[in-house]
Amino acid sequence: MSVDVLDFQFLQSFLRQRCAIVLGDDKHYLVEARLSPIARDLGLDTAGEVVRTLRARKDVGLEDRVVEAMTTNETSWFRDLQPFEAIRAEVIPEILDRNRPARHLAVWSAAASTGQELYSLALMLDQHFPELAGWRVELVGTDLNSAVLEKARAGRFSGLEINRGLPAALIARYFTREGAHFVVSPEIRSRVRFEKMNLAGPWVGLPKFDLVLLRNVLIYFDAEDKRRILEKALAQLNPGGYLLLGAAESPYGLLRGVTSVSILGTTFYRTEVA
Amino acid sequence: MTTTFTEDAISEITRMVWAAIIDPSDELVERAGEAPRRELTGMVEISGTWTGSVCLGFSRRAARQAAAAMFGADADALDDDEVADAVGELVNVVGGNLKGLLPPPAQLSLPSVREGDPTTVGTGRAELVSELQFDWCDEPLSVVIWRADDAAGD
Amino acid sequence: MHALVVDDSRSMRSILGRILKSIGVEVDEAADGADALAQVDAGMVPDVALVDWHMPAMNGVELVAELRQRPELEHMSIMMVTTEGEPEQIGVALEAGANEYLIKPFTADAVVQKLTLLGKWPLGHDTTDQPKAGAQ
Repeated sequence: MSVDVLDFQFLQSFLRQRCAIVLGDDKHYLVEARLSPIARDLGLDTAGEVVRTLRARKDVGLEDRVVEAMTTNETSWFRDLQPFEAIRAEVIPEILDRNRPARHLAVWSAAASTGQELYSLALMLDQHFPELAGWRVELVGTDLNSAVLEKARAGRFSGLEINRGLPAALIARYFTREGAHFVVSPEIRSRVRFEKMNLAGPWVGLPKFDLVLLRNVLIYFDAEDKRRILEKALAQLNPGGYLLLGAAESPYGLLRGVTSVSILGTTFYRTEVA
Repeated sequence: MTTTFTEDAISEITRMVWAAIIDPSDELVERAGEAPRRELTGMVEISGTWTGSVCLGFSRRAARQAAAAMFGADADALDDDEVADAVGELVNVVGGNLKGLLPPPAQLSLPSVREGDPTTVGTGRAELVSELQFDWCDEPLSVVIWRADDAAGD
Repeated sequence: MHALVVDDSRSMRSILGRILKSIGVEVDEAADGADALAQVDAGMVPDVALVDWHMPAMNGVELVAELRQRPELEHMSIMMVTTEGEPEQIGVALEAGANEYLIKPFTADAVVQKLTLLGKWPLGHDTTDQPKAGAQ
């Protein structure tokens, strides 16, 4: 390990201040894995040297790169599958019933990463809800990391990424091959938008949503930020809207006035109606 | 057509195959300069809009290490057939993914494995398109692409 | 759960076999189409067959079509595992009777996710949180 105790503590405090991300004491491997490519790029020998460079002088460019590297996740299509079944079978039909007069649907993938979650929803909507063709559908993805957003917007995925949970029938129907990559159809791409946003910062320009997916991202924040983010996410919902968290996450103990509903084995949260 | 197989594309595909099949933490490092002799070569042929072959050249020790990762076994416990099988499958996967860079139709042959260096074996009348060298576990590895002469005129 | 892995490469059968065994799947192997057909015709009824495309004599798509002729294998899922990655080729395999498709190279988590899609593996085995150093 090239990252010593002081480097690690510095990085913890840096990530905490810069983007309110909590880096657990057991995440040494993650630091080595994520910062080594930056070290190579800069001609440094180790991940530890990247952190020491960061400590030695103010370098906003390097700070950005470190934040981006530390917040990138492997994501899969239809992650955990079960929540997507619940969304397809119950959540979307119910929202459609409610929104039919306005013919408007808005969904937010709040930790969009490279876009698989939002594209999974877009593919599902196209496949199962032809009625939406005449609706105004807003599919919004946000993330802190501009590199992953660029990738999400391009809708270009490697074979390794395509393998992670994307049903073969959807690959055959919605993707074309461009060199070594698989590209989602322009029509699907035109229905989604990806924007840079820090969940711990101000939320600007977001519409109200019928469904918010805030999955497996709260782990990176401390209790106070978690509470604020959850509060704001619930406030961002249309009446009757749904909030989905990661399978192991819950707002209880952090927040009052929240209620839950279990749909086909998946728990969704919404604001308690007084 | 030759520009399809850019060094970047070959490098990206080879690294991806290595990371997924051999070990995510085992880094391939590109090397410059004179290539050390490679003793075992796996080859697949591509035919279609482009015709030629993709070769993976290994030192004997590198081939054995790769096979050990694929069989989940100790390198010394493997017989020569198992090492050859692993080299064949690796060139199949690298070649298959390189084939994906070409406009269809393109067919991939079954892999073959033979003794010797990828720059000298089984080339017949062909033009060297690309030779990319890596160090892997301090052992040489190379990806060599040949274009069949028959197709060189179009 | 019982899987039949059909691939002419022993090393690839070994890789798939280890991944499947690590999640408690019982694994049999076949080295080519004829070998696979001999095993199922001798009474084996796997829950899922993982089938390579490029094999000597009978290719994987031909094998899939053969397997789909057998009513006793009606409930068996078939997943192609191959370097062929054109969406059109995926369509060809699905048309022949395959249910899923995995492109080589693949990671262990992808195998589990595809089995989940096939309904052959209980939910909750998402392994995407494992560190993936260097596997960009």
